Amino acid sequence: MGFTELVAIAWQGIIDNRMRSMLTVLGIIIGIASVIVLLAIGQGAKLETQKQIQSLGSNLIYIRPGSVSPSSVSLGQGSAATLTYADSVAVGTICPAVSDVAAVYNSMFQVQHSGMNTSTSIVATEPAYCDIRNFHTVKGRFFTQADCDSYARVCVMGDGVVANIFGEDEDPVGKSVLIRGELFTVLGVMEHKGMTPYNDNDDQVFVPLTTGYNTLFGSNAATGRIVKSILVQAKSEDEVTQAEFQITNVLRQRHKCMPPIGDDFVIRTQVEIMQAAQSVTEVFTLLLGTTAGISLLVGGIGIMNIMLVSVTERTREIGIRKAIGARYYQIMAQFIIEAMVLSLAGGVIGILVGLLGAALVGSLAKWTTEVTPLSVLLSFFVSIAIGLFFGIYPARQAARLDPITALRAE
Amino acid sequence: MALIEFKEITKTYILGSEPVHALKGVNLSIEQGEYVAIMGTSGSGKSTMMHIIGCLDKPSSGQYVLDNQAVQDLSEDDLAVVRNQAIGFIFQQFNLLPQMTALQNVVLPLTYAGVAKAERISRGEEVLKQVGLGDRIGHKPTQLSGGQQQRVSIARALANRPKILLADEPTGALDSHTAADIMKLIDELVAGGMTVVVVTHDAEIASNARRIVRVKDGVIISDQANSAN
Repeated sequence: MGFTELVAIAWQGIIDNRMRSMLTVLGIIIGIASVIVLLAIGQGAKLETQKQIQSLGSNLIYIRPGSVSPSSVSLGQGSAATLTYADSVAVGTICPAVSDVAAVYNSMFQVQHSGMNTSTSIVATEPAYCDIRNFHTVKGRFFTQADCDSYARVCVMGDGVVANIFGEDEDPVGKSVLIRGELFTVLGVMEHKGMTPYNDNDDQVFVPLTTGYNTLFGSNAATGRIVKSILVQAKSEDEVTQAEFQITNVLRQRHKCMPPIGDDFVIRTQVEIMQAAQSVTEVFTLLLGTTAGISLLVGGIGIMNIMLVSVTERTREIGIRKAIGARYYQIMAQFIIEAMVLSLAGGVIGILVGLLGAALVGSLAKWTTEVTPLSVLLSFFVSIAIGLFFGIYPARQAARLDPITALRAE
Repeated sequence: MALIEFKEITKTYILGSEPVHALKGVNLSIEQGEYVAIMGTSGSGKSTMMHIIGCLDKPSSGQYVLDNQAVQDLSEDDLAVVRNQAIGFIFQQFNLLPQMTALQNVVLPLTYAGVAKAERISRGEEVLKQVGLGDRIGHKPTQLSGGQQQRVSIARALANRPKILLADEPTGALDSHTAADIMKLIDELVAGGMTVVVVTHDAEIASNARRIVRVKDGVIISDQANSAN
């Protein structure tokens, strides 16, 4: 007796109980579709993070001062005032794997414009900042080295700040604003960047580092020109590790950090920071996947349940089949194939529904969703496995029935 | 050698904790081409005898030789093959599969035997013609009368060219007129050389057979040729 014959017999069983078969399949459809959709959302989140890494520049390296611990209370990273502008210059000139550096000093100040005001982060930096962070102006221009050298009172605003203190139709370029009561001219507006871990990129005002020291922060050449952080761009993504190593050496030498004295600075690469963010999305994906897996399991148990009912209901049929010579494996195959056809049908329809659902979530909720071929393949084989796994027990029950008892059943 | 050979067959069930002796040492021999009625009241052991003859059940002890093959020690699966190849069952309740057409029901034993599709259909049509239902092959059991359903069931029993037809109260669910038709059909099959064993409590049905075996309390109390025939 061939496989096609067995499939034909199983198929007959399915269409004889159309309604029940459809409801059983529905359980698998929901399970598989949710696996596809939820994995697509998880994958989308992962892609989104990767896109952020790219947009921020994966060659990026942050140097920040280390922490100080007066009376053994750590004040946290960046609390020590050990990093200077001279360090920044040294890193830029000595380290071969470094292509560009920008020293940063930032603080919260009030910014005013014609009666409106906001408190925001004032970032004093150098022109290289734009390229290193891959963060550019949409209107006007960023300040140049000439602006820095001339201590120009100019600033460039994040679009969040513009929205806070300028009118809707007002063009901020060329206008004057007060920063901590000092008059600055707006040179340009930065592009919209959104949130990244730890800060809002759009709620910032950029000023030349020199101007910042002289007019806002009150430090000068005499106090050593402390910086809050140094942004470094490695020559390429592959040279990030080398650059990190070179920077560490330069700074250890300059700061005389030798055992037993630990480093008084901290180096973080953009990749490390994004890896942290990515591990969050991975947990998220795992969580979603588990939820979907549970619904799939419930669907599988649904199949087993229905198959058991079906075996009980069709006891007499099984008795008749056995009486006229159906062998153990033939009865077994009939019910396993029936379960597998149900779960496979649910799997295929579920994959289609899942693709549709992922597209819908993408367009309605504006989330990035990405259906990977792997998740489709996985769902397909899982649905087959479910039919097999949850079909075996009921099929055994059927195949083991005693023909005489089965024939007597009503 | 006889077609069916029972040697000291016993069958004991455990019902609750009590052993029930359904058959207590039965010796029986049925030759090729015989038409035998096994008679007895309910509880006499005639159904157990039928189950053992039909290889639906195994004896507790004794030897059962069917067509030169000892079947008492065969596995469940081998018994299924014997049922498929050597035995055609006719049941009181017809036992057709309701969702299948007459033809589909008839060819089912052939499907399990692994007969190719074209061959199945031509043989199915042939036996349905033989029982007088050549024009009803596409009907489902619910679209057929009781007598027609029993004919389909006989056609199914004949489909795989069995050695024996085993009929369990074949007319029990039919009116007397239809019953007579069915018994006539069985007579025709016997005339064609088929070995038929009818199990019944009905003396009138048994009177059609050429040999009557009476069973009571698990033993054969009489075994004689039917003088009426």
